[in-house]
Amino acid sequence: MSEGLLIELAVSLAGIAILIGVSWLLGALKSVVVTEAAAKDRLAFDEPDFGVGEWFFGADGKGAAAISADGSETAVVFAHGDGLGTRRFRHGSVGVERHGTIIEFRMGEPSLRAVRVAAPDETTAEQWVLRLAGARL
Amino acid sequence: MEFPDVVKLAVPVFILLILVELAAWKLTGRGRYETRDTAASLIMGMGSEIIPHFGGLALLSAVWSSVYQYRIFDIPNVWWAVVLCFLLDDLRYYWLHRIAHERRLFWATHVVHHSSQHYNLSTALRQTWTGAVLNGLIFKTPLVLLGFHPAMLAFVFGLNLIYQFWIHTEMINRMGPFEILFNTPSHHRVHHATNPKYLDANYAGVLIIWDKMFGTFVPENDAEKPRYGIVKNLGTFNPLIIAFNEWIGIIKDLASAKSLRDVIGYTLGAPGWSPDGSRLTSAKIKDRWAQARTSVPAE
Repeated sequence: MSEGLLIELAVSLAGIAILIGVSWLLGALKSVVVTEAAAKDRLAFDEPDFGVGEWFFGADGKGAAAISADGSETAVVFAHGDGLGTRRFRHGSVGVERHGTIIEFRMGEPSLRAVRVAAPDETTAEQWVLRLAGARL
Repeated sequence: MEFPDVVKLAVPVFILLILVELAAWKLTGRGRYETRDTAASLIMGMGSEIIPHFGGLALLSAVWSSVYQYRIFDIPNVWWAVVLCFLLDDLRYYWLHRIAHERRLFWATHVVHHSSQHYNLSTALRQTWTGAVLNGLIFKTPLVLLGFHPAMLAFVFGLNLIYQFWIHTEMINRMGPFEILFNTPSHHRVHHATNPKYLDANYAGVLIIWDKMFGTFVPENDAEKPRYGIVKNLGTFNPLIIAFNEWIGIIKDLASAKSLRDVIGYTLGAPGWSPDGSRLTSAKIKDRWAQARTSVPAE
């Protein structure tokens, strides 16, 4: 590695450190809460033809899931920083597991390993996982 | 005629302007910043500048030096040639950029730039780690063959890159008559938006006239605020995954390909192409959007 490249690397790293520090100091480190309204708005934008039959909103505000009206598809909404993302898949094509009150969708993508939706209690979680793991409406 | 490394000279200005935009965001509430997103963008930018030094630039230099020996015209290193080179390079950029959105192999390199859900000056620096050399070899070599000196080409490309930095902002609204000829923050917001009506539009680098000439210009509509990102937004800020996510997707798809048609479709088809048509391309998203609009009963 040449001296010029090392200097360039050092200057870039210093600049990055300053900018990250300033943005943090200004309060830019944020995590969005997946509210009902936000989840509905995002899914309607990303998947306008996904007719929702039933919603499952996470109690911790980190994720939500929906089953389509005909029961053939599932959609999940997840928080990412201060933004939201969605995925839509055929019902039963993604692994769904329950860990206590958490329903976990095993997405298996490099950029999205899992989406977690927290039920308010274990009894509800058991009911949710039965619905979300493949039971049709 | 000497051609300075304008991008290297501009780096301190980039940093200063991001600081100014951060302050403006805090003071006015306009625009959006998120620390992890900014960090990811900046690391991607640094990587895109450093990685080509590990062999890629040497390869590019060797190829261009060889091709320059067989140039069609002897174009002198004078001011009018720089202007001509700048215009032709901007046209080259339009087509490279358009192909990068329409063909998955090139999208795999360019998607990095669109992978942020934010649109601010740091997003401008979120650049590919895998595309600079490949794109340089395929799309810039013809200009060397034409007779433009590689140093001049590197210079005008640097100018083009610097121009594109400042248009990545929500701080500037409309710019009046300037928007007729030039790419502006408003035009480029449309390009970064995932709203169906804005998809695959405004590929320009500096001059927006190319989009107007080739039918890809879409003006920003105040009634439809752009939502930035990609159709399937990432769930990570990890720079390595940001850099290689689409490549991993291509490799997985190729591993499942059953025919030559599948191989071609997965690499040179539109992003979202699949053998059974079950995935969404931009065209399908636009169709779906149009159908959803017409199926909504009038109130």
